[in-house]
Amino acid sequence: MNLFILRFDMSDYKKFFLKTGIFILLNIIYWQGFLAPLRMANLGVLTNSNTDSHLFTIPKNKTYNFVLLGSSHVAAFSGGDTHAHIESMLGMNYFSFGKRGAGVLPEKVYLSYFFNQHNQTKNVVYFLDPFVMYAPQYNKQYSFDEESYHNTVLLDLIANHFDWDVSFGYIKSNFDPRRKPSPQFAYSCGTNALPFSDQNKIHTAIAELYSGGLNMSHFNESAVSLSDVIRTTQEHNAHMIIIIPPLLWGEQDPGKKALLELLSQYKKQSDIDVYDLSNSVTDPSMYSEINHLNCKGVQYTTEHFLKPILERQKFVLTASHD
Amino acid sequence: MTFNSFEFVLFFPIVTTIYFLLQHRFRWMLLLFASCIFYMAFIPAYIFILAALILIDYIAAILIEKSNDRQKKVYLIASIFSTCITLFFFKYFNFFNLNLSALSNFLHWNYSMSALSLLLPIGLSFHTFQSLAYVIEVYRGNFKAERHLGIYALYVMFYPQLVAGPIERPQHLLPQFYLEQVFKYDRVISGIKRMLWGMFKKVVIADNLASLVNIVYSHPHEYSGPYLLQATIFFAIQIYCDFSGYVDIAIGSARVMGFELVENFNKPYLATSVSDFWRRWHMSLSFWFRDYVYIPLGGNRSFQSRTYLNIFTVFLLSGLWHGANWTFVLWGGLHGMYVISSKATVLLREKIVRISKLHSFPKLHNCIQIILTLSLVAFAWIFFRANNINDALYVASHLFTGGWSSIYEFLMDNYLDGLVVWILQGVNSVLLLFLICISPYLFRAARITKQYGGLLHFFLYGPMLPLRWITCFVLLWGILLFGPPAGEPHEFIYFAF
Repeated sequence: MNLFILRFDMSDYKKFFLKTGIFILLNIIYWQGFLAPLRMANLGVLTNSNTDSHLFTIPKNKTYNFVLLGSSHVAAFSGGDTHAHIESMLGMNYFSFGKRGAGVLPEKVYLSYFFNQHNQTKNVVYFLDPFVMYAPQYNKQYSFDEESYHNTVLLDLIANHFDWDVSFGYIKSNFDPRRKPSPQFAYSCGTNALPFSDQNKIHTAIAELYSGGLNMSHFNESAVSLSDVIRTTQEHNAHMIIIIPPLLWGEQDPGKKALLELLSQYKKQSDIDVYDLSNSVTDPSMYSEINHLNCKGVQYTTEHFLKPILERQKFVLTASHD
Repeated sequence: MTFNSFEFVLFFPIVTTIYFLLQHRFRWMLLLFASCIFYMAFIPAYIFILAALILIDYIAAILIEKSNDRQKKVYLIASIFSTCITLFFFKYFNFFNLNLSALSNFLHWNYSMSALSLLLPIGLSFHTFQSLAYVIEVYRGNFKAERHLGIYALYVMFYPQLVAGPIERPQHLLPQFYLEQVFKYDRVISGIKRMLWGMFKKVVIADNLASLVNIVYSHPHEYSGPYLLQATIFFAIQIYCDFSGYVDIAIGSARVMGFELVENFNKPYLATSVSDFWRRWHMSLSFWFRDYVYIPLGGNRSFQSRTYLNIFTVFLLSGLWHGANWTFVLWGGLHGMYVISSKATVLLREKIVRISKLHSFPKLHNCIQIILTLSLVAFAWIFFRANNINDALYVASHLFTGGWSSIYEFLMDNYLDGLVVWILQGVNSVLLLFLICISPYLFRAARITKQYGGLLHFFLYGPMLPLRWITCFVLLWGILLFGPPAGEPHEFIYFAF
């Protein structure tokens, strides 16, 4: 008993597929040949320090000492004058993928695109916030609406199982004739200093960041993405350094324990470095508000932690080459 | 899964491809399976309610066919009761409970029953009415009871029309499942174009208007007359494009697979009376009420007062069918009043036409009738759209408030300022001039294209290939670019019923 029809009258099928194929082809030509270049024109000068829409600024064929991955806690290391300042402090050049609320999955997309453009880096430093591991809004629901359009990124969004709305929004935001491409302004560290550590505000901030609770199914999905990030990094001959960033609430972070366990597991499996800096900056005056380091805090963290970590890595690399 | 979702963009071609690859005798299984997946994408557990309803009506119809007259009636009543009780439980229980509780409070009676926290199964009102149509037609001897449970289930669940109609009659849809469909280029393309047009109406017109309408109707007290009037006019366009867009996609997707569903709209806003409007708007529901409620109640065969009562009852029920809220009941009641007053004033209106000599200018007469009908219908939509009766009454009573100054301010702020700037921009003034120059030709083209079923049909199905392709191209890119922002797909209004 045959389930399927074995013989078809092909004439109508042929006509349909031929005409549909031509129609689709014409639409693709219109999209790729006319719409995409038109939308990218006249955007002005965008750099890693004046926008967090990184797809506008990722260069080609460049080599960096390190790239930074992370959420707004990392964006603070790059926005405005901070970027140049840190480069001169460290004597190294870097590219930052820090972006407000960006979890592991969007950072993975940025890193893949960075390597696809034949860029190189010696280190990938991921300031990994525990909260981004637990909720889809930081990962597969993370919007790319304020990014420039690239076919490879669209395919990457689809391949990484981002919600359809994200992929659709990515296309629409770039080709909607009613709006111009709108890169996101870079997040900069503030100069404000907290006078004291307000426990009520800390509890509110934690509740907001973990509004979906400690969802382990999302955590496991993020863990897979993180392992992909590590693999991608190593495939491109870079060293992975994962740092839990300084937090005013340090040990109170509800998602940190599971993340540290995961990271120690990854450390055993692959050659990565893991540092927990969550308790390292406890002085409220280093924070502009409850959740973010101010410029002084950023400078302090760079001087006392990032620099030694990177120099140690430099030493390890030199030693291994010797 | 809704028609305007990405899931459907994948679902439909996959199901259709497998459908045409399968041997005819297996196709019903595929369609039933696909319909289950489509339905379960909303609330999976509710498939059991649907299955129970299908089973009850399937058995009832067979029993009705086998029984004598008296038993037949018992089975019919049992079937209608079980279907209606399900509808009542999910859709109207909380409404009646709330009103009973308010009434008992007023009368100082002791009544308390907690509200049910149940979500309305999607499309319940549609498929229950379709099931009822089947059982009643079998009872009347107009249709033989379907013996194939799978095919009957498919009649109720056929995914293109499962959640928002059109409400099919068994005579029309059921036999089509037995016909072997082959892939025909012209039919498939016609179906796809119909889907494309439906999607354009929904995504580009209805959803964009919805954004404006929702702002005003969420807080109507904050807006003056011109804004309320604009929102009401926009809603009239929105609901037409939303619902007829859905129906176009339903008819188009069924047509691609070889099935013809009944038409649900026939240019309703060109109706010349409210009765005429109901012969053009949501036709499958209007005819359902006519055949299964109005005529059994006696229709217009009795005294005039009884006819009026029948009309009013049907419209109240139709209002209640749309939703468990007094706003819908009022909307239905208002339409009932329109139709009754129209019937009651026939002679008077004829006299006015005679005296004013309007009958000598049939086009003008027709135009006035259309505008008046449209105004009445649009006014009634206020009650349909408003969140509660207070809002509806506020909008209805403030449509023309604010005076000329507020109208001038409104036009300047929203249209004229922008229009002047638009015209002053070099390219646009050339474009405007071009449009003015070709407008006589456009009117002429509209007249010529009447033979193709209108301008739209001429563009989509006419003899000029480049025009057909450009139209499809424009519709496609319109949908992709001018829809609402991603992440905010608007549901079809009639999904809530």
